[in-house]
Amino acid sequence: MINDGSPTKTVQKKGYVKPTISEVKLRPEEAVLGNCKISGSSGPLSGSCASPTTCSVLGS
Amino acid sequence: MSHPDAAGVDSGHGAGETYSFAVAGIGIRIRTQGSSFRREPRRQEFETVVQDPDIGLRVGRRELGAESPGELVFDSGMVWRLYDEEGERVFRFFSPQSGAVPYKELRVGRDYREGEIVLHEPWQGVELPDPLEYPLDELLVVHRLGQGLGVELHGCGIVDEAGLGWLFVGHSGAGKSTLAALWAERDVTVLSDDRIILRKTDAGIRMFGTPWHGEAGFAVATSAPLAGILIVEHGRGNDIEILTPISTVSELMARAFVPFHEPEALETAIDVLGVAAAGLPCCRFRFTPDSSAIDHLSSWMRTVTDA
Repeated sequence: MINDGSPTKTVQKKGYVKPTISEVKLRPEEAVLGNCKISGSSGPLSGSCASPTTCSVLGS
Repeated sequence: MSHPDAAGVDSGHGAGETYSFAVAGIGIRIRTQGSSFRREPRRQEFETVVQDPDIGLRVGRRELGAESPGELVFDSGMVWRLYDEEGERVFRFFSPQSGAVPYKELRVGRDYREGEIVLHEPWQGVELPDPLEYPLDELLVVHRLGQGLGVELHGCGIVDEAGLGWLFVGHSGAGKSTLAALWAERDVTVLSDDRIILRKTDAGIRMFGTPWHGEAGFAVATSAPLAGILIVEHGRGNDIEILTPISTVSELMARAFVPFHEPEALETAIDVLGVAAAGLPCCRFRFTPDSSAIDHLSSWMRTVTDA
């Protein structure tokens, strides 16, 4: 190999970053759209969500 | 022959009723046979004439049995279960009063586009209950979105005076309705305080209001290009922490309504949320529930949009 006198190029390597585990909290009871959060259930005789007076809120 | 009025309701004359509404660009039309039915008031804002529905459903009444239809796909542990019967999806809805016999059933194709809702005859009165009574309407939209169309998030969405959309995502109790109420005092439109839908478009990610509001009651049938995403939490002060795209997608998936039993829905959610997280400013926002939170946010939003 011929050395042409130019400075040696160095490849900058990224520093090693140790992998970390982050915990993400899940709320399965919210994710499955189970039922009305106010009346506790949907359907007949349950304080149906169809009635604005018994269930106008689905949750926040 | 009658015609749908501006509210998307065709009264009919003894031949049943047609009712249509649209959420996030998904047009839904249901037709009953010979009976009128109640309609959930929260969907009124979303009622519209739908000429070519994305989802078309018939509604009938007959006696349902207790025996399970086909193979169980998913059990919510609460009001609904999903079965597969020869390639058709069957949602069944139960209540303590109905016992082992469902009070309602939806049979729909695997693409969630066409089907029939059956109301269990002995449980119904003269006027039918809303066939799409919550949670069926939202379940249907969430499953249809999963067919490559988009994803619904547990979030509050606002549109600022420049027409840009900002999404505040959080679990129940995180402060979405509180933020919505605080934002409502400013010159913005609150699309929803509890449920926002994201869809990918040629111009980027677009966010849509939905009928399924939270405690603050905001539900507006409009949309805006998404400009930023914030995961909200209560805090001792107002603080914005920048999140990496990977952290953002993880946090969003934990606050998304994804039907995990449908592989295509999972792919769709990761795709849409990945594009959003990679291309938009994403942060965690810890806040105190007063107007200082909105001042803090407004300042950050100006910085982002001016950059």
